[in-house]
Amino acid sequence: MDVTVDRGGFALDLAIDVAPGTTTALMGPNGAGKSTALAAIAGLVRPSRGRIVIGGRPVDDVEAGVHLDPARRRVGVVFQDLLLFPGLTVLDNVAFAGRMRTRSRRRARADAAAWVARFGLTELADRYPAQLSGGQAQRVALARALAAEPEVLLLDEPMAALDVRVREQSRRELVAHLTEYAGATLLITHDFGDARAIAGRGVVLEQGRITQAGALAELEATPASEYVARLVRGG
Amino acid sequence: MLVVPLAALVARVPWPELPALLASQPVLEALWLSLATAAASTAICLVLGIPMAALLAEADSWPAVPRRLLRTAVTIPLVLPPVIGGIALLMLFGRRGILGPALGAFGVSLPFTTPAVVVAQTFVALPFLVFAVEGALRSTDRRFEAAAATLGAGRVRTFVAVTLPAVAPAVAAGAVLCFTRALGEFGATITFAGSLPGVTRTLPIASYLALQSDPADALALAVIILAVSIAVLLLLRDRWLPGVVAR
Repeated sequence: MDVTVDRGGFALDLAIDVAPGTTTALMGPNGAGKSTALAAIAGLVRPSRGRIVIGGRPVDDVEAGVHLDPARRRVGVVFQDLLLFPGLTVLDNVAFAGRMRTRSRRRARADAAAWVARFGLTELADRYPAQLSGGQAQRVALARALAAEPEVLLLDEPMAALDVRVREQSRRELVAHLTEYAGATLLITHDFGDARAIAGRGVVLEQGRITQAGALAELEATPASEYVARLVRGG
Repeated sequence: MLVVPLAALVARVPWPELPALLASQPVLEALWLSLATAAASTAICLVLGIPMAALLAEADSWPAVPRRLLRTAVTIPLVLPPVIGGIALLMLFGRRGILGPALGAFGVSLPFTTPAVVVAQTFVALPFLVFAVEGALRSTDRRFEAAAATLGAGRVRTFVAVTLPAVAPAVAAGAVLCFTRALGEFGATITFAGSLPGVTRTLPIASYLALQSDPADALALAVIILAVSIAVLLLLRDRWLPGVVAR
């Protein structure tokens, strides 16, 4: 993915290559452009230059005038605040993407029920998001995103809302689900511990530019900047 | 100032004769006509008003001139004397109005019919719905719409499946305000639809006419309007109101 975004004096310029079936961590200090990168990949903001290519298909190509709607680019997102639809039950949240595809409510719900079961949420299927714990809500958000069968999955600080006690278990669950996922995953985090638990490779973004990219072990062994050195120590 | 005149009205109602007055043919006719037309105009306000509210909530990014024109167009029935609204509707749909002759060619004549009552009520009630829904749309969290988009929902589906449920309380509150405003409509109705018993003579018109001849009838009719309005407003829940009345 090549992402170039200019927004209000802030420029973002990066090329990230995430192979299907692998997870790459996108790390960086606050304001480095992680969220903007996520929004651009998901199609929620338009890049001002350059291209975003997913699975060989350009979803944004400013020079060629290509901009694919978020609805049509098959990028799944687990937002930092999860953004589960408050008026829908767990099952209907997970069935949301299916409802858009099949128009058959019953089929969408049957498909969603399978996802709900895979995530161990069957007992919670009729609950509303407000009745879930943080860890449960996070599982629902992941199930909802994966049920849409995206080619790319973006995880925005998925652990940030969880307290320390459930964090470790949540990481293990996430890894288990991601190993079954065939697409490419981009994990956005400022926590090197999360990155080490979940991702194989890392990309570090500072002030809109990539300062280091490679295997996480490489980042640890030879940090390319002051920030990376602090990041790997802190994790 | 809010309650005292209404208390005076209630005090002067001839309570012992009230059941007989209410059961009379003209009163029942007017009551039924009022409820049916107010319900119809509320339904039309919902159909027209929700897209207008969505448009207004989006209009911030527009140039100032079309944005202000749109807002003025939506607001004007609120500040205009309803009689002027009635005259305007006559100028549009009347026999010598702009669209009147064209409709006449199809054998359709709107003024002084029951549908004309609905049109007049819709004209004056629409802003209530638009403003209630617009206020709520402005305070919704747009990120849910982004989440819906990443799950494959286009703009219309997102609006129907995500945005509209989020503003449902405001839609309900707007519909209630709309209905009560339509129920009380007088000026535009009498100008555009007249006062034909059973056809266009709604409760407020019947009440006003009765005042000239039989004040007891007028009071009976007035107390029904008051009772229906209070009953409908009591349906309004407090939690529907933030963003509608509170702003």
